[in-house]
Amino acid sequence: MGFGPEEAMYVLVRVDKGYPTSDVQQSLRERVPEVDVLTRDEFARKARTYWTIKTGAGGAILTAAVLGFLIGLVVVSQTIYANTMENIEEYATLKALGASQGFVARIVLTQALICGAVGSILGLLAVVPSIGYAKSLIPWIYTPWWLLLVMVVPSLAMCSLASIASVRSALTVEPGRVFRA
Amino acid sequence: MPNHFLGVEGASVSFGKREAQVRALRGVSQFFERGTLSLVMGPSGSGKTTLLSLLGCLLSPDEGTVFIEGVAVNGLSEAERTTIRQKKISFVFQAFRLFHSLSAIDNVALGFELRDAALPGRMEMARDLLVRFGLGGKLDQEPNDLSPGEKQRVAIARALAGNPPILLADEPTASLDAQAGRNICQILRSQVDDDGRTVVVVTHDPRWREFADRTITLCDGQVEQEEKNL
Repeated sequence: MGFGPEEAMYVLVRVDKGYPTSDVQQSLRERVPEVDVLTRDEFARKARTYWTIKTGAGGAILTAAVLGFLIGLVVVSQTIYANTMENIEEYATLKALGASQGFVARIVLTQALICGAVGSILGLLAVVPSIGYAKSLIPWIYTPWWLLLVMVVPSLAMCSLASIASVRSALTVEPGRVFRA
Repeated sequence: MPNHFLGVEGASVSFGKREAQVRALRGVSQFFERGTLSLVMGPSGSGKTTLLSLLGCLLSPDEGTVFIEGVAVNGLSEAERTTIRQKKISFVFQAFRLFHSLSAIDNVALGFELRDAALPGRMEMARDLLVRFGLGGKLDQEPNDLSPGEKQRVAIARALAGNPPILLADEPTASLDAQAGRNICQILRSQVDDDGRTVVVVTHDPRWREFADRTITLCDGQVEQEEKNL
């Protein structure tokens, strides 16, 4: 093509209408076998794979996400546990009054999910402007709207997971303590 | 043959182990007839509350048998005992034990929900009960905004939600002034006279005697005295 390896990294080939891309790709591969000839989709996939796996970026983002999940798990777990222990007498009263184990567990789990829903809303309120700002600096950042909603699911799962210790405490409280002043 | 509607037979309960062991009840046999108000009196540590816990299916005796509506409940699982509490037994506590984040009407409606989650019209029934106890103007108030006497009336309304046949009260007038205490005595007496409920009250309060059918006095985990009042 007349370029040395030090002179160009990419060459963009536009295919006129009416010519199949795959035919042009095949033809170029035969003429310059030492060069990778990729369609737009193949190039995009290759670039994504490179940045996600071959550089540290993907690993760093994944690590940050896992750390965020674990830290969130601990914080939410502590918060819900403290709230449950603060109200343990009320759980004992509920059990004395005939509340089933399922009823008690549902109360704690509902509190955890409310915590998760409120946290998700507050988080989204903070994240949406941040994405806007990042896009103003790096226009090709791609964040589909559904991604924000999908992130609520692991948040709620995290809160449910975080409520396990609290559910256990509420379920094992002795109803007989209602008569202790 | 004793009326086994509600009671204990040869019940012994101990707490703690070895040197620290306390025998709260020592072979107590007592039965409470349907449609009566009984007092359980005695000094602190005499076993009154332990007896109430047995009758309320909150505790199992080390020895002896507990009867609820004529059925021995000793061998039942925790879930089965919960169901018995849910359907047949209600409690009134000295410290009221209302849910502070709920209004008066929501506390009573919760009582209905716990007894039957599928029951329709819980709010209307809760309102009717509170109106019956003179709390029609306090339906939406939270417990912290109510006087002790009002709190106890809300607690009694919650206890009566779902119409349980047995009502167990632990020092229900101990935190109340004379007038409010008398009012609570009258309300619980009316549960016996009007609705045929079986009421057992643990108390130190001598005002209760004129409202009770009989008084049992415990001392050191044993029945010391038993007398008819009315």
